[in-house]
Amino acid sequence: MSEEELLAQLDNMVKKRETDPAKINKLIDNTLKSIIEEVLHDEG
Amino acid sequence: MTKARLRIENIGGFRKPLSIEFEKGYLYFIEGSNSSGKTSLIKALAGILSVSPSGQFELKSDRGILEAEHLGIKSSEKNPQEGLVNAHAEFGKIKLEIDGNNYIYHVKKDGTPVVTPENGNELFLLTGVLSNDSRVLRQLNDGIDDFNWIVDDLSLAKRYGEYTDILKTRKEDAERLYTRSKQKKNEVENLEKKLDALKDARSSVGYEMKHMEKQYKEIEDLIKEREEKYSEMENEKNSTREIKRSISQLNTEFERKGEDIAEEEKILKSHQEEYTSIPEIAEMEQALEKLITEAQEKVTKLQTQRERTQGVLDLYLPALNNMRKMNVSQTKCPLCETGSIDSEKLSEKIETLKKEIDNINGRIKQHLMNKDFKKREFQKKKERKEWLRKEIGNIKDELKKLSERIRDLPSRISGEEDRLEKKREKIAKLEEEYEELKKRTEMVDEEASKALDAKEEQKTRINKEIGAAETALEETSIQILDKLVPPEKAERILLILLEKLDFTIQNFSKVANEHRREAAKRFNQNISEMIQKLGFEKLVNIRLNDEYRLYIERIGDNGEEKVIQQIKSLSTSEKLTIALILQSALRNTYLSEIPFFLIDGIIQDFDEDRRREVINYLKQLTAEENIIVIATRLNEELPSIKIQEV
Repeated sequence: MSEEELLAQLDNMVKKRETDPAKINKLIDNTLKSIIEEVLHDEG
Repeated sequence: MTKARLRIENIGGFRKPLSIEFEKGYLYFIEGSNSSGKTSLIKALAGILSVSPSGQFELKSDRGILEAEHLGIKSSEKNPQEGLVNAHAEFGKIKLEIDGNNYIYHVKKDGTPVVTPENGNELFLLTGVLSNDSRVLRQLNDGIDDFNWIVDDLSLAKRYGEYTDILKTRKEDAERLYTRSKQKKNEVENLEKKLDALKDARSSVGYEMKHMEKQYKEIEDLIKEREEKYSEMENEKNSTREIKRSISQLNTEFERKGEDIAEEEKILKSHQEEYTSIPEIAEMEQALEKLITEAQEKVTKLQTQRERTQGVLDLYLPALNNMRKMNVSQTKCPLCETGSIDSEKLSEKIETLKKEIDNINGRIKQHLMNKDFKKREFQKKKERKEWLRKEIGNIKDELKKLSERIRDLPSRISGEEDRLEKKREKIAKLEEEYEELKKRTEMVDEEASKALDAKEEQKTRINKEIGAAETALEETSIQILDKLVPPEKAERILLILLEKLDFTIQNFSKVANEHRREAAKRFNQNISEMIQKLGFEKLVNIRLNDEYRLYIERIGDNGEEKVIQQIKSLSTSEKLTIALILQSALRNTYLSEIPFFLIDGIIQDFDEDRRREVINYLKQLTAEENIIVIATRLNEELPSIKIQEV
């Protein structure tokens, strides 16, 4: 997920007045997961 | 005309159900004396419009709860009886129907929600209610000009801020992990260097061991040579045993052959002697012929004698018979016929003649038997002689053969003995070489074995250290979420995440500021419009400045210059006016979609001129599809809802 995509998704959540921190953290976790896979895949 | 219908039960002072209808575009005054329930109606409307679907007040820093407690919508620990629900009821019910949408709120006395409205918005607490307890007026009364909350808490800036806080927390976590990854990376570098050094050392030991093994191989070859030497020696020893056995066999054979020759020679001699002792066959034939002739002559002679005797007997026997027939005792001699012969004498003569004949027969028989015996004897001797001659020939042949066979044996024995001697010499040499090899191999083997063991030990130690370093390397992995990642990769991952988080945080900060500025701008525009509509003479400029503080300008006493107005020095009526303007601007800026604007009291506190201006202004507001509900003690000549005292 690119920086812009992460920003857009979070911005969308803000606009939907999403207040649950767990959902925000989950999105960041998913971003982190995709980075991990990307880096590990590249290295692989 | 769109209507709104409110129904309450067990709210405030109202125990029995109460229904009130509103129409959009109207200003409603709820009139009644003190404790008549006017404020309860405002609270009921404020409550049902502000409780969120979760039933909680969630504004930042407990702001929602605080405002709800201030407005008496939620009971507090300090004032447990100041909630919405009637003091004598367990829970209260509020229902509001607007444009076909139903808001339903059932709440227990302790504030626990039972049924919550689907469209409640907590912002209504800050925007839709003006009372002495609403935040705007509280702040003005306290002379506080910091209105950051108007652009912060109420705009999306607050949400962006909350998100930014979470992002910053994540960033801090990521930074900590990033720092740890770097440290671990250094550890990895050190460990890798150590590992490289250890692996080099292991290679070196391995090379040395290989070299030693090569040497060891040479020793092994030496040992092999020694073993082969030993084996060769044993073979030679076995070979000597065979030679000895061969010599022994040859000696035995020699002895036996000698004995056989002696035996044969003895037999030969015996046979030769016997052969010699037996006359020649021709001689024996001659002697035998002579003997037969002589015997035949004697027999012939005896036969003649017997015939003669028989002739006499043949004379005597009839004479005797006649005598006996004639019974005479004497007769004439039959032989001579001259003399006489008595019978007795004649009998005696007959007997004598018979005996003589028998004697002659015996002698003839003896001669004949003797002739036969001699013939058989001759035959036997002849056969024996021939057999001996033949046997002597055989023995001689055998002796010849034996002699021939025995003749080689001494030289063969001698040859074998020579061979044995050579073998012994060879064995002695092999033994000497074997002992030499044994000494060498035992000494070198022990030394090489010790050296090799020492290297093996060194290699084991290095391997153990490598294992420990590798384990330590594995333990340097950084856990990110549920994955264990090598530090170098973790550093990269976290750097990417930090870049993304930074990018978002910066953007959100920017966006939040934009929202603040935009909110302040809209807010200030609304204020400006209201000032124009209200036509204030002296308060010419009310706005939030760049620091979101309330900035008020008024016309100075000289009537021309504008001066900054401090909040603290505002008159009560001015404070109320500004509160109304700010509250109205707040509502228009943030929550204009909710048609209600609630005012509890306040109006009666304006001076008469200002009140008229305010009411006119509020009327203008209602024309925009709003419902303004004002709880007041005033008895204006306006449409009103009168509340019975409860």
